[in-house]
Amino acid sequence: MKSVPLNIALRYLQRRVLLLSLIPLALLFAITVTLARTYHALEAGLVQKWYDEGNADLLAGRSGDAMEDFRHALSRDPDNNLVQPRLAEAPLVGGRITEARSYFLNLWDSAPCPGEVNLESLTRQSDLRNEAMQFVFHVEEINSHGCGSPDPADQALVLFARRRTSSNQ
Amino acid sequence: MTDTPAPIRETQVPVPPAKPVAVASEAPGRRWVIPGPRSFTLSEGNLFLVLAVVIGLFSGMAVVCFRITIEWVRLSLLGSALAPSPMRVVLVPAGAGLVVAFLVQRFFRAARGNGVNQTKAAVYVFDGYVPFRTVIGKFVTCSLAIGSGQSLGPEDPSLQMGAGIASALGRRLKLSRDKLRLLAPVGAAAGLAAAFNAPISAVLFVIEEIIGTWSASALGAIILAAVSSTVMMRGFLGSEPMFRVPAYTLAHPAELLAYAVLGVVGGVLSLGFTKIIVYFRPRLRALPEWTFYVQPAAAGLLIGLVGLKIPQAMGTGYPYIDQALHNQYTWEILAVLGFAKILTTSASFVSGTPGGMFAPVLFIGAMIGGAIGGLEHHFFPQLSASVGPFALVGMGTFFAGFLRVPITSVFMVVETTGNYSIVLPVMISNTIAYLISRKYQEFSLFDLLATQDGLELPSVEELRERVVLRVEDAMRKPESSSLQAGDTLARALEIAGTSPDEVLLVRFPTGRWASITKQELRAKASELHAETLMRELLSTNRLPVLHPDQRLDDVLRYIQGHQVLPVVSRAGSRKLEGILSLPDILAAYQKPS
Repeated sequence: MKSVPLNIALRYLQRRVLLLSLIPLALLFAITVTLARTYHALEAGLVQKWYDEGNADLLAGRSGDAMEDFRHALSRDPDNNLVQPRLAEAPLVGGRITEARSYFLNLWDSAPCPGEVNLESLTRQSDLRNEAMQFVFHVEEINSHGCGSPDPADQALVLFARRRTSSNQ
Repeated sequence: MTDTPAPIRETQVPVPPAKPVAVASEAPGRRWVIPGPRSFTLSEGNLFLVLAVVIGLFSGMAVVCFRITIEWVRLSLLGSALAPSPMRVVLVPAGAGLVVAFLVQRFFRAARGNGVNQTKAAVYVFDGYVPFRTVIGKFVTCSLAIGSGQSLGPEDPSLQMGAGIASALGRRLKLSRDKLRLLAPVGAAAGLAAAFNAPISAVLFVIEEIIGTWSASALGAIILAAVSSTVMMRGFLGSEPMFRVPAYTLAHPAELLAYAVLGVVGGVLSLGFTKIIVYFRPRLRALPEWTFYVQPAAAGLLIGLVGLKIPQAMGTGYPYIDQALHNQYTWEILAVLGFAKILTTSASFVSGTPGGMFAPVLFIGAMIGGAIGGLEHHFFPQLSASVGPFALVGMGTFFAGFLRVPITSVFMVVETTGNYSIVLPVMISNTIAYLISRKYQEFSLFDLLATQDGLELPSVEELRERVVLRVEDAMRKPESSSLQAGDTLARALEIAGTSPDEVLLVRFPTGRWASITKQELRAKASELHAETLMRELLSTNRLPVLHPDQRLDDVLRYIQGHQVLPVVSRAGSRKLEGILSLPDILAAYQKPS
């Protein structure tokens, strides 16, 4: 059993140590902030690097390489709205429509209405392949997911797609 | 009216007005210990809670630095591509293995070994002592090992780093030995919570595997530490769950059958994985000491060779788990990845390379789960929808079977994915895997590793499932009816004459119980009038009462000084269920279970 003065001394010491521990805590905080900022900057740079390389490969028609590049970019930033549709487009350039469709549907599943990513992707898909019928199919699929078409953007896209279909015919 | 004074509640105790405590007045010459304002005064209990938050903050930041350092090492050594160049794949893990082995052998011997068991050893053997050198050692060696592609994870080292930080702070604060012992699990929970971004799982794991009981004194501190470390980690690395999974719905109850099959396969494979580790680890440790310098390098070389064909089998493998959850592999590839990871993880772990098993276990579980799901879908398309949910359930299944922490495994899946809808299949599959593992492997992996390390740590699994003896297992029916408070001394003597019991219980109308021996009764009869009531005779006598569901070991605290205690119903203390004496308790413990 500790004596009373010893207890008081111990409490005093504990409070002092607890307060003093704020110094290493602040120091560690500063280190962590610096490390995290540098790391996030590095990561953003890597995403950009792989995204640029993927775009270059896509333009050059190297579908497989582009997909790899976009996957690298997504491994660092899985929710990147720029890279996701590009990864879905890459197989389309290589003529792998089924694979592309699967990617687009996954995108739709992960971000349904209002689905900016998807609408943008579908527009791109239509532009790239000039397959307006497929475009209409997708937009109708969007509607079948239960969104109806309260969004004017959806309506506009459907009209746009139908116009393209009729002009193609 | 009663002459018994009303019990004084704590709030009624008069408190003297607060004034600065001048120690000098009590102990001249000790003015240096004059404390500051009273408002800063903390009892040890409150100090412990504040300390838990501080530990959480320290651990959270340490784990953030640790995870970033691992990634940095990976980028520096293997490059930013998902599949590094062949030259790097072969050379980097082996080369880093040499450096890691040198560091461990020369500077950080305690960094070798399992973090969970070392934390348990701190709690049960070393009075909560975890050297701070171990924290530094784990940080440096694990960053290098995991970043270079060794098939290990950062969670287990994070847990131990948290325990080490907590222990160091506790020692600085000169906490009592009991509190120091409690601090290691508090830090462990903080470290694990930050590493997994899963505070509930971390708290459950520490309770399931390290402490073994729901200790109220520790629980508050453990939760505070886990929450503060998670908040800190999320502040720096984001609050998204570790894995992003698509929404899942159980299409048909028959789907659960498919998950039950996954439970069986997961249980058998986790058993096999345990056996591999338990078989090879002591054999490699028995080799001459110089081989410890090259074992991690040899493991690294093997991993590199496997990585040439299957780069997914290197490192923590988290990105690939995500891919498996999103149906990006066929079942054949998933199966190959699962078995390749078993090979590489076994090599890394048994070679003594520092690092944890949690991440590889999740990887293997996801791949095996996905493979089983794909296979089942191939043959019974009506039973299972897609591979993703099976990969998800597989993670928990393998975790439950391998680490034998069934509750943690369920919450871990829910927390790391943020998906609650999968909980039903997870529960079914995990339970089956856990039961299979238990049936065919008597001791858990942690217990086996502790034994191999020469430590006699308490088996938390055994503790959890030990049969608890209760009062109802030892109590007996009284041979005679009890006396009433309104009985006269003459009536009491009459009843005592027919009772074989030496001690007689006396029931009061208020539910109070008292006791008197036959000898005392006879002595009183010679002194007092025959019409004296028992309530007058025993006005100050009060026995503690027991209930049938109370633990026998708890009762030992109350039975001291009493020959027999009444066991009464919880529905009313006037109803006597039985009586209990010390010989009854001993007889119950001696009875073969």
